[in-house]
Amino acid sequence: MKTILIFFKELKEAFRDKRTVIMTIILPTLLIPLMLFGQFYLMKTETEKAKEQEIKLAYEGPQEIKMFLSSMDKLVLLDYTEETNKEVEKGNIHSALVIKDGKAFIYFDPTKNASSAAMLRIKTTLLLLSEKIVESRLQNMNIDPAIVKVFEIKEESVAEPSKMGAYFAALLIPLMILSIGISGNMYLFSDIGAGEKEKGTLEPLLATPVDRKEVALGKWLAVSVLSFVSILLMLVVMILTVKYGQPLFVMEEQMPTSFSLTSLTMFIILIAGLLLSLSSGALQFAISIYSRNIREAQLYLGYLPMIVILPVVFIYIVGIMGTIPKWAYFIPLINVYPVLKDAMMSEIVWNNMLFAMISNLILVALGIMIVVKILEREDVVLRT
Amino acid sequence: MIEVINLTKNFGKVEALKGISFQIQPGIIFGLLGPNGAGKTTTIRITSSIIKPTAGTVKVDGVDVIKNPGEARKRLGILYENAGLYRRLTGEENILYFAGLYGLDERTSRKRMEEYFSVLEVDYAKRQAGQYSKGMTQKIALVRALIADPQIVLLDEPTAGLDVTSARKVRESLNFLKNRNKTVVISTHLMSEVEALCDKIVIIDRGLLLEEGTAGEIKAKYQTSNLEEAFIKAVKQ
Repeated sequence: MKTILIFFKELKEAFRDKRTVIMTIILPTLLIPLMLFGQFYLMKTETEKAKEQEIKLAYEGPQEIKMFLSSMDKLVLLDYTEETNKEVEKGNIHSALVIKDGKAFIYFDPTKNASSAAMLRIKTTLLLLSEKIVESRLQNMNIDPAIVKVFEIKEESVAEPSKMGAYFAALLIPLMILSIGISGNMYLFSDIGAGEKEKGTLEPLLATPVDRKEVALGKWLAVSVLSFVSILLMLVVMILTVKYGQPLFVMEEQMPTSFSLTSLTMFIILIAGLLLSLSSGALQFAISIYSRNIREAQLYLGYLPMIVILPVVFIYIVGIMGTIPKWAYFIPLINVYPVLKDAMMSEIVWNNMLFAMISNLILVALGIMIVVKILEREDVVLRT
Repeated sequence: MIEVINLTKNFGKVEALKGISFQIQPGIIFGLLGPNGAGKTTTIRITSSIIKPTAGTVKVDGVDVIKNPGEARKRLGILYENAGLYRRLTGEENILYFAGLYGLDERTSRKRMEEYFSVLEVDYAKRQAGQYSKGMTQKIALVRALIADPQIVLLDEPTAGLDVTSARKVRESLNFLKNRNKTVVISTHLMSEVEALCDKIVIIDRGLLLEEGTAGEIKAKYQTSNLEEAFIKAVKQ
């Protein structure tokens, strides 16, 4: 009963704090989708702009190729001089092409997007032109051009478009959920533990007849629920953005961005999000209550995302190249990433899910026990 | 009634309390007098079972605070020097939250709260505590300490940093509590306050109990006309 009272008091206080509202509601609902899809949108517009952009190309070489290049759209042909490469570096000329002794040299600046895009366009054009020249030479010699083609390579994906969409989503969404769960409410966590000490509110609270366990549970539940709310909001906004915002950020028709979530996938995502909130809540609360003041708590909590995200990045890379190692499912917090990825790819292995769930629940129990122990330690409670 | 029995507390190598013993009879205002660092706050913290003594114990109405801290806390209302209000809650919410923690129903809590508001002239309790002055904060914290109607009230430097009017209001409220037969323990280093309010006093310094008695008895022992003089003589001895 007292736990519920403490829980609601913490929620009330949290929602009256602008910083908490920003971190819990505004950040996941606005900023993260904006950051995520803003990037795609920028990439898309930049790529389209690059396609439409007029290329300034300096050229030196055979006349017939020069005539071919002159006939191309959106290409301004200039003469190659000794100064050309410097001009490419300055960005005044996008690229330069020099053909001599049977070799084509393309000069470009890889640090400039426009120059790289121009190089790719010139390279593709030269390959096509080279094929055409070979074709015409063979025809002049009354030889069928097909003789030089051993086979034509065609790549065909056997994956359903929705599975491809899920693959791309599974690379990104679990990382986003993990980031929010680990570091999204750092201010709130530092305030609810170390903040109580710093503001002198912990001592009057502990002087009431309420049991330390009830204090720990009430506070932990409140921060965990707020953390879960952040994750939920982010998920909802991301799903809505993918569903309705696709035309804004789809780069190419072939790129699959649509994916459907089955109710089982959705259920596992929610359970994983909840477990993440509870286990990371317990750990962060323990760190915060141990800390001397808000500043110290934020310092310690600031290292947590790094400690969790670095192994996740390792698993992420291993996962792209092959199978996620079994041990990844045993480590609490970190295992949320492979669980979410498996769920989104509909490749659920129930044993792994169970290991992940148990390990996170162990972390929850440990975290709460540590908090209760800390609340009983006068040297930690009274130090500020 | 409070019984302090051979109370010793060490913080590492520092001996904050060196085996002090005294009794506080019910229904009186009791002064815990001493310079900064004397051990007053440590005594209050042990009594409220926030910290544990190295040796000895404290009994609150016969309940041992070490063996049964939860029961002891139910009998106490505590006002700390740093009031410790939640700044984003209103004064009312702060008080009602604590009332809930003591297991009181809202109706009783509100009735009691309004009564204390009228005694202390509190008319700002619907504003968030972050907007209060020191005096306003202290008055709300006092109502919070009294909301569970405890038989014993511990006040650690209740008037420190208050303006004259607020300090007077707090002092008046102590007499109000005494008239209701509450035991009030006030820790302070303000001699005038102690002399005017307290029925009985102990003087402690560097963890030792130096004197115990009424203000008159202590003044007579040191043959001075004011308590401040007697206090200085006691501490210098």
